[in-house]
Amino acid sequence: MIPLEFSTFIGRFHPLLVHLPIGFLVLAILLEWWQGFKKTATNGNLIANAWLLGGISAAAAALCGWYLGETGLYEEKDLFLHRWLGIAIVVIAFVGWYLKKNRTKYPKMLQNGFNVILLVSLFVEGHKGGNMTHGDTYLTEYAPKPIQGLLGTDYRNDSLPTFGNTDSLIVYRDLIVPIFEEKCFACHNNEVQRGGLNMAESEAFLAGGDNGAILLTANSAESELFRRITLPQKNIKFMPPTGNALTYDEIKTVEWWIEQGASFEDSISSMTIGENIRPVLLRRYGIDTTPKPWYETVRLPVLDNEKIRELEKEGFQVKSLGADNPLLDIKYVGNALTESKLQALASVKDHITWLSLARNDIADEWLSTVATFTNLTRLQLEKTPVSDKGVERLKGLRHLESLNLYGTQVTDGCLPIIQTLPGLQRVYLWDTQVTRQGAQGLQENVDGLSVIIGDAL
Amino acid sequence: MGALSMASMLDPMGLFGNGKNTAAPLLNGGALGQTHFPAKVKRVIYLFQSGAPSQLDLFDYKPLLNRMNGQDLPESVQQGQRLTGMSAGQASLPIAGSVFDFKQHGDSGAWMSDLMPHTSKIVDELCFIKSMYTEAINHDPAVTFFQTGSQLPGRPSIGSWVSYGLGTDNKNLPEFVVLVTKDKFGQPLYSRSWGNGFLPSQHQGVQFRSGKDPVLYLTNPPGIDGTSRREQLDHLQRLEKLNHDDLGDPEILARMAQYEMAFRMQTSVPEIMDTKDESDHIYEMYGPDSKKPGTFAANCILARRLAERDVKFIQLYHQGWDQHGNLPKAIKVQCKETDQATAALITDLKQRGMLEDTLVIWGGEFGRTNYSQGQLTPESFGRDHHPKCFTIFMAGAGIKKGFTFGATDDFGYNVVQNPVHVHDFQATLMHLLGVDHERLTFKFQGRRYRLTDVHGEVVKEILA
Repeated sequence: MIPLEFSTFIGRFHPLLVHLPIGFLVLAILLEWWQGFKKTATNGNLIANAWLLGGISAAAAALCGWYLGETGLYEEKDLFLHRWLGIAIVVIAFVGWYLKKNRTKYPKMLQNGFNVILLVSLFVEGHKGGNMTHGDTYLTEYAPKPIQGLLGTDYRNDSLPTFGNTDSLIVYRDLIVPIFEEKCFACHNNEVQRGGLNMAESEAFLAGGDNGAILLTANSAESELFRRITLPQKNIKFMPPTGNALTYDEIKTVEWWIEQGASFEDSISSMTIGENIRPVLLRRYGIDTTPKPWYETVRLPVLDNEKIRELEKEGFQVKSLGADNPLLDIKYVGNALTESKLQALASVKDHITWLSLARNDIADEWLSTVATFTNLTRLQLEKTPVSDKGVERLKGLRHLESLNLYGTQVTDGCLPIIQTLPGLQRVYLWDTQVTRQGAQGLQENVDGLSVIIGDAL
Repeated sequence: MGALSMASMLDPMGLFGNGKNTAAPLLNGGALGQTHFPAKVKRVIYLFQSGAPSQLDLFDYKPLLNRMNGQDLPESVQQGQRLTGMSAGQASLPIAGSVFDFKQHGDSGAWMSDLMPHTSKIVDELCFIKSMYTEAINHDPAVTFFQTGSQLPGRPSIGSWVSYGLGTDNKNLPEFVVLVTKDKFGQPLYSRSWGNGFLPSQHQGVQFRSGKDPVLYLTNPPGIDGTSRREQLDHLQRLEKLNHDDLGDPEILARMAQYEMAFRMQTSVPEIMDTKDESDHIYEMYGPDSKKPGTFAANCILARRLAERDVKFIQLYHQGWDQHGNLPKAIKVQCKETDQATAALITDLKQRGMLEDTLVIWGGEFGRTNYSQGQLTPESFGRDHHPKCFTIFMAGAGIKKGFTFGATDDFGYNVVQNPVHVHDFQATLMHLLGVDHERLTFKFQGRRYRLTDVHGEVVKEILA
């Protein structure tokens, strides 16, 4: 590393030297124009000498600059123009020295045109160099608003992306690429491949760099990519080396993406969203991933009031879930429930999400009707004579989250059926013939299911 | 008066409020018709601990107070904040550590003292807010503030707002029922705490008493049966309608609604009070008091029975927490009266599947000081009123379980994390009921009022 360290040492003289040619050359041109204006001549070769000094100092600055550019601390796309324009200026300066030494040989037009070319090059080059050192926005950040408007730059922007339907977001494309674009792609793309790494193409990305693969799926700790972005920032291997380190949120997002398999196609809905990443997604991207109850995800048209009136006549208490949710919360409050009354609910079956038939004398067969209420999430059958046979009829209720069977005739025989209800989160079995061991077995068999059996009677 | 009469002739219903609001209540739906968003909570049981229980001896464990026991409360903590007249004149404010043992309980590791052994067992069902604070420093304004959102009497209570906004789920019972533990004294408890304020009076809380007649004047006089009572009411309806057409006083409609409710309660209330179908096991669960009508335990069973019949807002009051002196002895009595039944109620609701859509709240009107009012001895001390911080807990639908929100400083004097104002609590409660607290309003005397006045933020962090 000694040679690199020494060349870096040399390279860092670039900012010191780089101002000398600017001074010399601008002075030379100003002197020439002053002479032209005053119609007097300065002594001897003053102007030509200034050009010579400009050329020499520009060459020294370019040499240091070359080494500085090699340190890898600058992004390739900015570096390219700065480097070659700098070298061009060296050439221009020496040609200029020759021209000025032989002022009388060449026409005034050529002399002045040459001056202008040099000035323009110097301004562009100086501005590029300044931007690389201080950032793109350094010059214009505090410019008055009208000037910013003229320049087409406006820094008020809060660049947080907003997403419509978050379920269809592709994690790599929508969340990861913007991070890499800002911090990695500049040096690892199709044209420039520092360390032999190209991150712009998924195949090349997977192939890795000079030292092999940098992504180990589902293992962020062992992935070189993750290691490099989380090293101590002073470490020579830390990435990106430009000082534009990944933020905590960005690191967490990348880590989550690798842990979830580092897929280039998977959507956000197919990934597990842990408690660590949830607040990051919400804060950084405005993506709310808190699990929503089924009834908040269903979109159905508002029901006709006439239908609801009819159900009320049958003895049902019917409420919509809210002003913005037309799903129904239905409870039977009439005198004696019959199968035909229950069948009246079929006319609104997709809308029913909460249903209580509690404390009614219902028969097992009637529950076949209930099983067609596909959006049912909460079913209350407590204190009814429902038995295992009735529970069997509920099999098709995919979105049922809560099932109340307390005070019914069910036994351990219904537990295997309950186990197959995919969305079930809570089942109430107190005051039934279900045994404590049976309930415990069910609880252990199904992740995320609470079996509430209460105190023994 | 001239202008008033003129206005009432033009729009008789508009004089006192929104015209449609003063009509007899719909079967359900109330003034809002439907909730603003899906309601996680359909009914509330509010176990109000009147007099202000000492959070420092029950929930908010502060070992520093024990280490500094007897030392004067540093000015840097007290910061010249308001004290009551009862301890402001004390020569010193000696720090009083709790004499009770604190332990962590359950998977959630919630701190509880040994005063509440039963509640300690169910901490994983509870959500503690340790950073409650209020503006009032004395009992009546503080209770009024908690129940109505204003320290000044005259606003509707929470239960009345719920009744007014959401209507009934059981037309045979009032939407808002109040149960007060009998033979408890201490600070006065005024019935305006369950008053309807400027809302139509059928929305006021109906107090069930503990004696022979839980609701007074409900039984028919001798010689009158249900049929003739019905007939009488029908005639009265017609007369009162004429009366209302003439005068436009909304209270006429309210009165008629109450007559009708009383008629329906003639059958529904005896059925509620008849607790023969409760098994011995249940009585054992709620504790020995539960068979004595009028006790907190018996009221808890009654509250559950009312909740089972879809009464929307059930408010219990238990007085006697105002321990200015002799705290260690007095608080034991209070806890013995309430601890087992509170835990039993929550457990019982859970096994019946009612925590799916029922919310239980336990708490007082403010907290108590970390210094002793009066003399501090190894055996005894007192604690004065402390509005700057106190603890309440909740259990049930829509909120996190086994969760503690907010924190106080090491002295248990000031809130240092996530303060929750009384209006925030009220906003959160309405939110759980499916109501945007800013959109349930009533126009009265020229301006729209709401429970949270012009304040209140929903405490999203405690929502499940």
